Amino acid sequence: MSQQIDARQRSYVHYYCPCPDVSKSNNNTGEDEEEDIVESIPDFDVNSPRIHFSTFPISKLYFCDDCHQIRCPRCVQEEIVCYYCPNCLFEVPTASVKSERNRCARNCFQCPICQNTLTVVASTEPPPPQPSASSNSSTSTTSGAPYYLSCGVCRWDSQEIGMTFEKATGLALQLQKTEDERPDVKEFDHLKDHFEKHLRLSAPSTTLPSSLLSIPGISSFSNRYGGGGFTHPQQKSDDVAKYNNTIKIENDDNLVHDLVQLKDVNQITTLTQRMNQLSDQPYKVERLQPQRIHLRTKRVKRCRSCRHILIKPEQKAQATRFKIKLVALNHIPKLTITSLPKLFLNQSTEIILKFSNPLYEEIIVDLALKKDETTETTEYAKIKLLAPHFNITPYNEVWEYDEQDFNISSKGRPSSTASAPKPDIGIYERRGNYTSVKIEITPLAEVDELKFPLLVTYANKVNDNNDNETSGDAPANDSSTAAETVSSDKPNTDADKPNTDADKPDTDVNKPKTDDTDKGESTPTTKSLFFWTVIGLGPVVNPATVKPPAPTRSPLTNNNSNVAPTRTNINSGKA
Amino acid sequence: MEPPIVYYPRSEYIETDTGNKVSRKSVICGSQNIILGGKTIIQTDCVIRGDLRRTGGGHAVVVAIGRYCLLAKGSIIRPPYKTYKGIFSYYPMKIGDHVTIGEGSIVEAATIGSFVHIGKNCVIGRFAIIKDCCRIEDNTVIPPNTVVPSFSIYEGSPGMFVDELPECVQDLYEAKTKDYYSKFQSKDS
Repeated sequence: MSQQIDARQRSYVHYYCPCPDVSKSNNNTGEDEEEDIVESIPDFDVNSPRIHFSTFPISKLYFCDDCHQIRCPRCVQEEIVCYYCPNCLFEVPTASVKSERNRCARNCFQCPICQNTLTVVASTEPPPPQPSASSNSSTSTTSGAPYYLSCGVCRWDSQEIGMTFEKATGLALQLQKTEDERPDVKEFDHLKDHFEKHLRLSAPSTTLPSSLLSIPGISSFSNRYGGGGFTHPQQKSDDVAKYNNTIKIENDDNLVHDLVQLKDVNQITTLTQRMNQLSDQPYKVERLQPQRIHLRTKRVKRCRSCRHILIKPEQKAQATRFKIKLVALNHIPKLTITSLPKLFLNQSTEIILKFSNPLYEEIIVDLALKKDETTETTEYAKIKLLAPHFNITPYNEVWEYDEQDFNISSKGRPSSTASAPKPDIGIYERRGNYTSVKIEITPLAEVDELKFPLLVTYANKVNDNNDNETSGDAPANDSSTAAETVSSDKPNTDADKPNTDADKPDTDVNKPKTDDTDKGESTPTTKSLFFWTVIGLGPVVNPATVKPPAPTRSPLTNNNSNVAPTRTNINSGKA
Repeated sequence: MEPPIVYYPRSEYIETDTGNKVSRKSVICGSQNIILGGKTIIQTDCVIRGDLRRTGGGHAVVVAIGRYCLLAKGSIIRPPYKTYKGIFSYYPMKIGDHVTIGEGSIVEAATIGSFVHIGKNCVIGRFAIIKDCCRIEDNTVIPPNTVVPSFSIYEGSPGMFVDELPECVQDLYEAKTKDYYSKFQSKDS
């Protein structure tokens, strides 16, 4: 049972994004553009070591409407729209992010020991209550202020390092002075002053978008490579006067002496603690300081090839809505494994894959294991697609409300009712906006993880209203510079190819004519897309040498009482 | 992998008019102070302490839970408390819609937003604020007073930010909780 649960957790359907192999496929398509469509589908190797970097669960993928192609986190461009503190959730204006060193300038601090958020606590001793002792209290507050930072996890508090605050608010401001006096900060400011003089001399030809200007050093970068000739700024940089450092690094003999004398490992900072205080990376625990919390960002995501926005969050820090959200989940069929029996060596097993259609149009799906093949035998398994061609009825919001209704497919569009009575081979179930199909698998090798590739090609009928969309695709086809536009075209079936060709001249020359021709044809155009998926099914078990779940449990239990039974089992298995 | 249908003995659960399913084997204290939004499942051995309310008279909502939430087996919901200006008091807790709280988790948060997944055996500290669209992995301890911002995954003890959630997490969690509710079916035993 525990093994089965394990297998269930380890099963997955990942989608392949060809972006890392863009350059490779680009060359191919450039040469043989006129070749057969099937030929142009790039090869896909599930056992390639790069697979983990180019396959993603559907939730992580985007869908570019313009390119009509899947986009993964690696082929989108990000732009920061908003900075905010993850603790107080206050938005920080872009202008002040740089001066505040990308950290919260309010009350949010990180524990130097355990990196958790600190809370401001008033001293346990209440401020002197007697009004007569006011003269005394004023002196006492200067020596020991009433507020300090305290960690709720490791019980560290800032009184340990003698850090106290007069007021409970604006703590960062109160620490500003000590922070500015730190040698590394001083040195950096000095360095900045030194070079800014020279940067000001070279004309600031900022061709970069303003959103990028907040990145330190980017303006100088653009001066060097973007604006003007190369020799001019080069000359300038040679003119920079010699820099003299203001701070001398203190002799660390004392530190070495102290470290040699250490007897307790807890007196030395851990690597994470040291790395968290990058400025001086102290070795001694008592020199650790609470750090202001790093800001987080909200980002716009763009398609790398057409620069269209795929994700646009709302500006406000606390809002979770998106103005634009083109995620793959809403555009391409979603595959889920619904039934996965235990896989035994040389035993044919049927698994069930559920395809759900997020679109408002009916789609036709074609499955293949390898360029037009529905059966495949590898060294690991023999796989047979029992239903390589099927349709899925469109998504309908009404179904959301009566999920209990089991006879929903009969209520669907006429097309679905027409197909329902047909004896569908390999179709397990049709309901709502999904179709479940069977796949027969015979494992041929005992492997830790059985996975196989699946090529999904789907086409949906686009109504005449959406004509603009298809014509919008046409110019992208023409360019054929970016690999993904090419590849998006390739899966088109021969039938619809003349259609897109017909569209091309229309978009260039005259629009009204196109409408006429389209109306004359009155056949709905089809849009199609293909993508590779990897389907992981977990481990294959050999029934001959199958062991009871006991030895596969944690090694701790193995060592004790379970040793004897496992041995006997192994013996019996051999016998 | 799609979750299987979960059957429960018909006699164990009470189903309310709004579709809440509450186990008779759970401990619900001060039920007059608890609001369930509808289609929320409270499973076996859960504890909800609606009786721990602010000192002082009058009717007050102590625990408000939204729609399509799941309190899995053995989870404990307890309103947070603190001593403010020398007075000890409990404070109300609010949980949004489509929230899953895993088996054996203890929640003492001030607010939990919508579309939140809390794993198994977690401890959510007092007055923690979990914003919308978050994921707390199994066996995580969120310390008291922590703020978990939207679209973050927290893990470990103490819970730390480890990753961001994708943008479509709202749709995912909504589908998941609805799916779980529709597959949580009664069976005569």
